[in-house]
Amino acid sequence: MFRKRNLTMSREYAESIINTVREPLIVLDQDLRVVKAGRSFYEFFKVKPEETVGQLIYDLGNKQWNIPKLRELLETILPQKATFDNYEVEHDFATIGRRTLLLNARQIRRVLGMERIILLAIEDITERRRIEEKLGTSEVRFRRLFESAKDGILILDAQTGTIVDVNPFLIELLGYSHIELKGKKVWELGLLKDVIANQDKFLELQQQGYVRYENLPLETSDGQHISVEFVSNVYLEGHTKVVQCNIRNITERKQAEEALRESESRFRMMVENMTDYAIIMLDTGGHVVSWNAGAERIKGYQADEIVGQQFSRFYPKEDIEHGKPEQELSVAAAEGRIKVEGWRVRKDGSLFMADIVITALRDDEGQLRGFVKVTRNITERKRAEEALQVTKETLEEGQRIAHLGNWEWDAVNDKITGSEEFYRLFDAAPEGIARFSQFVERLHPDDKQRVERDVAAALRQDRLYDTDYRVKLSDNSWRDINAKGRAYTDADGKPVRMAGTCLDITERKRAEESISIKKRIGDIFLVISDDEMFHEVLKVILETTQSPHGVFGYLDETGGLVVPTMTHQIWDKCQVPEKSIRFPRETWGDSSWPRALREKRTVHSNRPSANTPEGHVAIQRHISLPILFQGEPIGLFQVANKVSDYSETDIGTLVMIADYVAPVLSARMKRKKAEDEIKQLNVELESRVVERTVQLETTNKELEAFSYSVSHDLRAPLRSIDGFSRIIVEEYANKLDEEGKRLLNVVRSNTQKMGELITDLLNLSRVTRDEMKAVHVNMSTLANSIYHEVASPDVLKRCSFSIEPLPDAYCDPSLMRQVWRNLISNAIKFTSRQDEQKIEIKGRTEDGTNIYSIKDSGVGFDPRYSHRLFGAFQRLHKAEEFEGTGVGLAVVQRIVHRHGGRVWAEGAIGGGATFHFSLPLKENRYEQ
Amino acid sequence: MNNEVEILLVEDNPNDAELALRALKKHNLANNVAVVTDGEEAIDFVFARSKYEHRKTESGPRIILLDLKLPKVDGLEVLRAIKGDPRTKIIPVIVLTSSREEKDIVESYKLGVNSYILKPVDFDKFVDAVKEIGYYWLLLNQSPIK
Repeated sequence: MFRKRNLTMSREYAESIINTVREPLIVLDQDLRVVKAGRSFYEFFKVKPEETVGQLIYDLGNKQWNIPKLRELLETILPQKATFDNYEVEHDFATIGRRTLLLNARQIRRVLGMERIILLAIEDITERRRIEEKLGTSEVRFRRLFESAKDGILILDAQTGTIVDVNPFLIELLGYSHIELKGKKVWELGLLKDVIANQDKFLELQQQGYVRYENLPLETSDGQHISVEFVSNVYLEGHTKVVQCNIRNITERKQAEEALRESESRFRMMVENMTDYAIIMLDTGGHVVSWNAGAERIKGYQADEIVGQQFSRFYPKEDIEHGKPEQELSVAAAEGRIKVEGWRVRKDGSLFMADIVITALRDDEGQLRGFVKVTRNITERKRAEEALQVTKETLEEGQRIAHLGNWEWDAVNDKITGSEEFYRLFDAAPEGIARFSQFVERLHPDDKQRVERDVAAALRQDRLYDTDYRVKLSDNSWRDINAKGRAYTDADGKPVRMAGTCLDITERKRAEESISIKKRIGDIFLVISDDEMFHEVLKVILETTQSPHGVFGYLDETGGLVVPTMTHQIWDKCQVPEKSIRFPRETWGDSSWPRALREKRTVHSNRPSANTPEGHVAIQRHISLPILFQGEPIGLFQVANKVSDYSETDIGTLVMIADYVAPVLSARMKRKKAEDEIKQLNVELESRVVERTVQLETTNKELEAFSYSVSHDLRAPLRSIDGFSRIIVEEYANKLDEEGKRLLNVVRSNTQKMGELITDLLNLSRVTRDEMKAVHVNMSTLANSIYHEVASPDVLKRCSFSIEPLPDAYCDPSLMRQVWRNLISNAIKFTSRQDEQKIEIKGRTEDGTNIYSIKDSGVGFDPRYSHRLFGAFQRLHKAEEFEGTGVGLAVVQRIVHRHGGRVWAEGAIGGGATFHFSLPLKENRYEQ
Repeated sequence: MNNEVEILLVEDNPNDAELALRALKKHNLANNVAVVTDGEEAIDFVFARSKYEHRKTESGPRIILLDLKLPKVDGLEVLRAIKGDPRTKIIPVIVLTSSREEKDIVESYKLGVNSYILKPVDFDKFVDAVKEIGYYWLLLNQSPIK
């Protein structure tokens, strides 16, 4: 019993211990089954007693504990040793993960009533192992770092200052060996110049735990002076305080810094003094850091007003709103630099055009430190550039419009350059006309030699170069160009280059050609007869279209084509008998030229004609062109068999000639038609004239005969009447009384009158019939003599007669004599009864006629009847008053009219009369 | 001699002939006047042919008064005949006519007429003209014919 109670007490004692112990504890029996486990065990491994106690250890946690190493311990090691400590086991537990455990195991015999129990104490050293590992890794790392560091590392004992460790870099740097350094005090190193100071510093270090020298001068073992950065830290290594010194060789850096400082100051000076460029430094945020004289000048701000300000204030408002400054900075930062042109604002608000380069500044590590901004005022330059650009564009435009290009030939290097228009004129790319030989290649074969000569002459004699030539274009057509230029010499007088212009003169040449063709044709029309005209015009069109064969014809009234001429070869070949052949419209058919005429358009082909009639010339190529006038065809041009194909130019030339020829041809043909008509009319007229003349002559003869017979036959009886009645009066007077005598006298006087009448009538008719022979007549003399002829002595005595000088007349003298006789007789007659008898004769020349006037102071006449004055047998006075037959004035009128003049009279009853007649001057004379 | 014809009057108009004779008579010039009434007779007379073949040409006439408008042979023909013959061309011929035609005048003178007088309608003037002629040609003018 006691034993049992002791046992129980032991067991309770053991259990309490087991449960109290902090580390997991587990008791196994000899079969390795769990007898008991401590609370810590259950907590640690997160298992329950129910699932643990009684289990085989290896079965714990679903056989989690089936660990080979555990088996080794429990079954192999422990039986031999009975105790084993610090058995490390690592295992990945399902419940708690991977753990590193340290086991203490005890085998105890005959305790607690059991044969054998095993005690397992478990310590979780997972963390510790981790730390140790880390430490180990750190240790390794540290070691590695220590060994390979490019800085010197010195480990000192903090208390004594003794060098504990030195890394290889420092060894190399200082030139001392490991052995030399280790164990020494740090200030004993000969390299630390100022020992005392160093000791003090060491004290400082001990106190503060940290010391730093930025620039410590050292001397290596071989006397080299170096500068180092010296940093020291104090820390604990285990229980010991150690000082770690980091030593960086900053000799190079210092030198670089020195150089940099030097260049910086140089640079600064340069920047400071530069006034044409604003050079400012910006920080990364765009604030102004530095400001040079140029910036002051260009932007207007003093340095102190602007440093620290945002550089965006130099931008115009819109740019700021659009975030331009920031954009530019970021581009500079991204790409290293940015070059822009833009408007910037001065201090006074005025704008200027700036050329800006912003360069990003980076340090050795590539970190952005800031920016340098270089600004230049290019307002003037910009304006000049723009003006130049405008000028350039204007020039180019002008050149384009004027088809004028300029060129330059570097004779030394044989290089040709030119303006856009120049290349366009030559229809070439710059490469295609870069050398002189290429230029010559493009010329017309006939022009090549001449142009080369001209160029040589210009070069040799420094003469002005002015020549025309043709260049071949890509479509194989030719362009006429006039080139002008001059040669330039170097200092020695050797020609080195030529420069000049090229002008497209195709239009001008074409116009000149047109003019010369037109002139030629114009001359033809002027000078040459109709027959030859066709031939000559044909020659012109053959020449200008370089055709050996051709036709020029016209359409007659029937619409048929008449060809007055063909080229001679065709004559011979076509065996045409007549000189001119006619194609009646019905026979035209459908070949080219009838189509051209019918359809009123040009028909041309550069292919051989399919159907050539026998004996005719084969047509290789031709142009058939109708000559249109006012929309209707009046003629035809045809040219054929030019050596090369007919071009649009050829057609154009023919059209031009046709247009020019058309009106003249039409006029010619109209004229010819009119001429023919006139000829016809003339022929008719001739015959009619002949007829009429014959008639007239007959009539004249009849009239002559009539007047002859009148004069003879009428007079004879009159004579008889008069004579015999006279005889009666004389011889039978005694048988007649007064009345009888009177009656007989009446008979006599009437017969006389009748005789006068007959005379006058005869006169009148003769005056009309007789041939007029016009000569110069002195009218003054004539009038005067007539007066003296007509006037009786009595009249001469009593009448006052005056005659002014009269202009000579060109007239028939005998007829004019009658005129004067009649007029003067009338004047005398009608003044005979007046108290005042005055006759005045005047004359004047007026408007190409001579006007003669005779004024009398006679009885005058009633002007109401003046229109009857000049009628035959018209009398305005009674026979008793004034004798006369009334034919006199009719005769005057007839004669004057025959001379192409007029008669008229003025008068008043009782107031005299003035008679005028006019005669045209010789030049104006015409005969009725 | 009394047979001598002094004046040959060639006049177809009997009235005119009568008047002419009266005029001549009035002025005592009508002693030996022969009258023929047409051209043929005139020529016969002057050249002593047919009817007048017995006439002696030596006996005149001393002057011929010739009218132009004559039947049968025209006056100008007579003139031509007379002036064309050497035997008769010396006889003064005085054309006494009413024709004023210039061509008659010119032709007459071409043919050799000695004088060309127009017959006035007025009888008095006619008589005067005849008288003048007579006086002139018979008395004043020296005739080649004796």
